[in-house]
Amino acid sequence: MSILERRKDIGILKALGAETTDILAIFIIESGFLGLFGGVIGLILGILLAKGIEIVAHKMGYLMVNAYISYELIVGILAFSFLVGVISGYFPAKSGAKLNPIETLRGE
Amino acid sequence: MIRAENVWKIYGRGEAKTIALKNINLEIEEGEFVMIRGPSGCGKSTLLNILALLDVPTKGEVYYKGRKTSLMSENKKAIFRRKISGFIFQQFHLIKTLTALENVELPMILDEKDKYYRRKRAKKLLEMVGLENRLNHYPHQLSGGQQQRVAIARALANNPKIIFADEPTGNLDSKSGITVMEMLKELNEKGITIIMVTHEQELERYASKIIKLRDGEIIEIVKK
Ligand SMILES: Nc1ncnc2c1ncn2[C@@H]1O[C@H](COP(=O)(O)OP(=O)(O)O)[C@@H](O)[C@H]1O
Ligand SMILES: [Mg+2]
Repeated sequence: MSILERRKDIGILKALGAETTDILAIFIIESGFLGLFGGVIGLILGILLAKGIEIVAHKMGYLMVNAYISYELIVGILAFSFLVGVISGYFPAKSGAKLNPIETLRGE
Repeated sequence: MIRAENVWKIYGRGEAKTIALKNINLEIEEGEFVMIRGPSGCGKSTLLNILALLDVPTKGEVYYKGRKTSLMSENKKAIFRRKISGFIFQQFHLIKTLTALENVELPMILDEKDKYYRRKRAKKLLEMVGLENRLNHYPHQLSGGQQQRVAIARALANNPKIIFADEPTGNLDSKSGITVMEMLKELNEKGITIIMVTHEQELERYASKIIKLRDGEIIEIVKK
């Protein structure tokens, strides 16, 4: 969904009587989960890649090369990607929510 | 109920300056069916948006029930938009990713109504506008006339006292246009104040008051 489309939705929500906090909540939760989803995908790809390298390295005789993925690392990465999502949703939503509904709706 | 006093709206500055509204004075009483009529570009939408508290005047004041709306906080204005008024746009402005039923529920979600009540009322309103078989359709699966009826149901969700409508028949064929006008007439008979914008003279027969606008100025107010 494009940013312009989102902007228009913010305008509609404001015209229907949404308060600034409602709009921030809706968009931050959404972008936070989008970020988290991206984090999960990245994590899976990362683990597969690390394990792949480990297997290849072992086959070549480098038995010391081991993929080490700690629980803390996983949690850290997921939390970080959620946070990045939240932040990337916060600023556009905040700027959209501050304008009056008509200015926001014109953004189409 | 709503009063505009010396309202001006000026867009841009210098070369690009457009005076959209010039010293508008008007008063709208409860229960009226007001039509703001004039040619395209004369400032009708600008005026309606300001009266509906969706936009603010450059100069002048709009009063709601005797109170200056310029002193209302953003949250107070949100409450006005959510509980006191309903707005119908020429371009419908439904949320594309929500079904008809969800679009009608939206103002009630913002007003923190419980889920059971919301569902029931949204269904009842869609039934009232003749869309009981389209509850789970998305906007792109509906005709223009059907989308505008969803928008009317949405505008009614929180039992508004005032309905604002900006050329609600502007994007519709004449048959759907008549249906929409008859619905507005019926709502007005139930006591809802209607403030509508149009450029079509033949719609004047629905109105109890006509405000004629030309180049941002009121040239005549006719009471019937
Ligand atoms: N955001 C804007 N910026 C600059 N000019 C605008 C803006 N909105 C409206 N106008 C101008 O103000 C005038 C009145 O516009 P509008 O209220 O939309 O007229 P109507 O609804 O009667 O067609 C027009 O000349 C239009 O071009
Ligand atoms: Mg207009």
